[in-house]
Amino acid sequence: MKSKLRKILAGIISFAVLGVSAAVPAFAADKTDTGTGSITGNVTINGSISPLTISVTHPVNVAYAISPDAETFTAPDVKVTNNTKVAVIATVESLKAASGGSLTFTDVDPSAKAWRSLNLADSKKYIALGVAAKGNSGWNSGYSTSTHWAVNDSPLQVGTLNPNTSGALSMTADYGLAFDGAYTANHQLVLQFQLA
Amino acid sequence: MTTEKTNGNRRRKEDEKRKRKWPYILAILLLLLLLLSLLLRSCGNQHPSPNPPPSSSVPSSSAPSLDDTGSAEPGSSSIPSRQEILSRLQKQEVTVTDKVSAQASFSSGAKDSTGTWEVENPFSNTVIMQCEITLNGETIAKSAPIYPGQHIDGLTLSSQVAPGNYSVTATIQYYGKDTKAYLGMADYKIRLSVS
Repeated sequence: MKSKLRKILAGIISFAVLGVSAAVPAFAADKTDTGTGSITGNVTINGSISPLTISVTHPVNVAYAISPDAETFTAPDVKVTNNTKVAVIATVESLKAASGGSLTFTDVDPSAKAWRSLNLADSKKYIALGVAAKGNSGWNSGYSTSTHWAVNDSPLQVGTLNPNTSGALSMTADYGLAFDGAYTANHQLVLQFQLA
Repeated sequence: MTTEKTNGNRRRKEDEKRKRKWPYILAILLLLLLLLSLLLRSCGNQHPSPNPPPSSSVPSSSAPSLDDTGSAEPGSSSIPSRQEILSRLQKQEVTVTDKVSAQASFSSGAKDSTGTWEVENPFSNTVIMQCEITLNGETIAKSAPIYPGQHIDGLTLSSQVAPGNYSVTATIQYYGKDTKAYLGMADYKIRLSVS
């Protein structure tokens, strides 16, 4: 009697196990490898990688001041901070005189004029404005020490910035002194960033 | 008789003397008249006229007098220091933080198909962002304005793009939050994937 009951229970359990294994769906890539001795099973691993977010903090506009009496050009540094997880490359895409001020300068080469001798009309017309990487300000070694003058059209790759690092650009200018009033003038600086 | 004669002679001499004095008196009178007319003219110049000509254009016969009202500042005029100028310029500066996905993906290159590309304008920014992607100088997609605290996660193609992978320029233009005036722009080199 006991042995009969055991046989019935064993039968129920084996049916149940077979039923469960049949009910669980096989995963798409499931494969049964058969053979004798050592068997090789290939497993494909599918990865999904999201694009990185490039994050940079930078000024949108930069102001400068010319004091003809003191013969000084003053402009704050252009500070660029890389918040990205990896290094980024910063490039000066363009620097151009723009309208919107009471004067619209014409960009010229710094050697194009005898700046301190410019008369009233030419002082209000010409400027040589440039931007360059500031040394020891966070740029990785190998950064460009060249000045990008506004008169040039070709972009200047400034250098790379490591994550959570700030680098600075300095503005420089040659200009006339004959100004008969207070004026404003605009330039547009376009920076370009990309993953290093 | 002799006394009458002497009296007659004295009267004649006195008459002659008087006749000699007349030219001098006349000359003195004329001089006085001249001085009086000069005085009157100078007084007339000091009287205010309804439309006085500028003092520089009409030379005055009298020296200008100082209008000694008001007071000027003592010492020489002060030129602001470099630090003061820098501080003023820095106040005008607008700084932003960009968060741009390094890739834009489109499952189809057909015009008006939508793809994924994430750009966030953090709440800390004070500008409105508007993004566009350009391929070979042509704008192929443009975002809606992204206000501070907002983001986009997709774009619509405004022109057909052949399937492939491209290096494209994503331009972010910045506008004042209140004024909506254009402030500047920055470029990002990203990857464009079109299936």
